[in-house]
Amino acid sequence: MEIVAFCCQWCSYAGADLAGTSRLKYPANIRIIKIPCSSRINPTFILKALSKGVDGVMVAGCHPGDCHYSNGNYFTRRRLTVLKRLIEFCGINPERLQLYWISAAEGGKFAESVKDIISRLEKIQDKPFPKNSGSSL
Amino acid sequence: MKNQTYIELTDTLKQKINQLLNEKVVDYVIGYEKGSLWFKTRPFMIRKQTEVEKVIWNRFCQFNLSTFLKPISQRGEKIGIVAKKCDLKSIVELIKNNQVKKENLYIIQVACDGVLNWQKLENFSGIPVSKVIEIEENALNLVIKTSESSIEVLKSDCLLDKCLVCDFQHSTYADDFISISDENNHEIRNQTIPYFESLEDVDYEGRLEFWLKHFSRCLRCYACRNVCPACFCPTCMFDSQEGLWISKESKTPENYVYHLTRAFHTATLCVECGECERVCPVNIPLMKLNKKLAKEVKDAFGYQAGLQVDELSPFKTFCQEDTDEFK
Ligand code: SF4
Ligand code: SF4
Ligand code: SF4
Ligand code: FES
Repeated sequence: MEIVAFCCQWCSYAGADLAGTSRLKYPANIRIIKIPCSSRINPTFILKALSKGVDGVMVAGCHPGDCHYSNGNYFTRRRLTVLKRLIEFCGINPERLQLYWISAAEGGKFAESVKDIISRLEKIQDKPFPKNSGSSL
Repeated sequence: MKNQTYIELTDTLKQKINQLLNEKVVDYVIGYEKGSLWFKTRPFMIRKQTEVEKVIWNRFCQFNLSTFLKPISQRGEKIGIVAKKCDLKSIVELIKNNQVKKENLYIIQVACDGVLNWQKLENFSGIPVSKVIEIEENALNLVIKTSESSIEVLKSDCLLDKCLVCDFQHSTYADDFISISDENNHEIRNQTIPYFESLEDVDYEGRLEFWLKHFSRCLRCYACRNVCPACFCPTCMFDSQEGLWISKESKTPENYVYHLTRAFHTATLCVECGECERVCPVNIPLMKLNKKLAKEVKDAFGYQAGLQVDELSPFKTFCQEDTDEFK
């Protein structure tokens, strides 16, 4: 199983760091991509990852109210709400897209979130996009 | 095409345009002229009074002319535009999103009784439109005449889909409203037609298969984007040379990303004008996507595009109390 995790550098990315330095165990299926803020997520990033055949995408940002840029994560929440419904309509199980709020102090929550998305994905039957069917770019 | 109402509307429209040009209220007017075939019309920029004679208004004026405001509106000229009621919605969106200034526009709304779809006309009458020499109208039917025969078809069978669901609110944004009698035929046009409902009963794999099958035909000609009044980015991300996020190749997964991205970008702007689907050379059912997304935006944020110029689009604002669907 392959999961792409977009982590905000101010919180969730640091949370992932903390999970590492605290030697917490979490499944090794994720590839973390650092972003400046959860609102940096362009929906195309997510669509591209899914169309390349990854099993799931997780977006992690600061807790609502705690965004380093005041309110980026509120915008993220609105956008992903619509994106989730869009992919669902176009044949991708919405469970494949998850959004978590993880602070820099929550190494434990980071590990739990990875376990959470994996367990959700293990439950679903339908297949993701075929791998490597698109162009190399 | 014999329809007294339309003939009279055209005359009034011509007078109006003449007056606007004469009094220099506008620099030019965007309207319609006759196209290459009798059932075709095309957009027409009227700059001189001598050109006004060519202006037409009939049941084949399907273009949403507001899309021409995208590239030219920055020049600061005062533009007159002929608009159907539905076109006003996209003008509202363009004003709302600072693509055109209201004070640079003169909107001439013309009464519209539904636009005919010539493909439907052919399908329902069984007569190739090139053979048709005259169409007459009565209350509910069209009488299609060729040199040998004449056949009646239901008007409602031959209108564009969007005209069947047209909801008849007169916009307050038009500077002029050219009408003779009020639009009739409410019973024809107040229908509900299913756009995406059947797909909601299909499982995820079936839906993916459905869309991949359609998107595999996409030529990436970008006609859908170019015609769309909501696609007003100065440089579209699919043309951008910096950060090539998705390949320009027309491969199915890339096409999938293209279409979902475009649908997402236009999610709070799409006024369901149907132009993208109409211009698609390979008949991809884009309106299923747009209609569904419009419904979801309405459902999540209670917002509908194209109604009010001073409303804030849901992606430009937020509420702390927004529901978190990812819990
Ligand atoms: S996406 Fe299609 S229906 Fe929506 S505004 Fe653009 S052209 Fe019109
Ligand atoms: S597809 Fe997106 S980026 Fe391209 S013009 Fe439309 S809204 Fe802009
Ligand atoms: S108009 Fe049709 S073929 Fe062209 S890019 Fe749009 S969907 Fe693809
Ligand atoms: S800075 Fe972390 S979500 Fe905005």
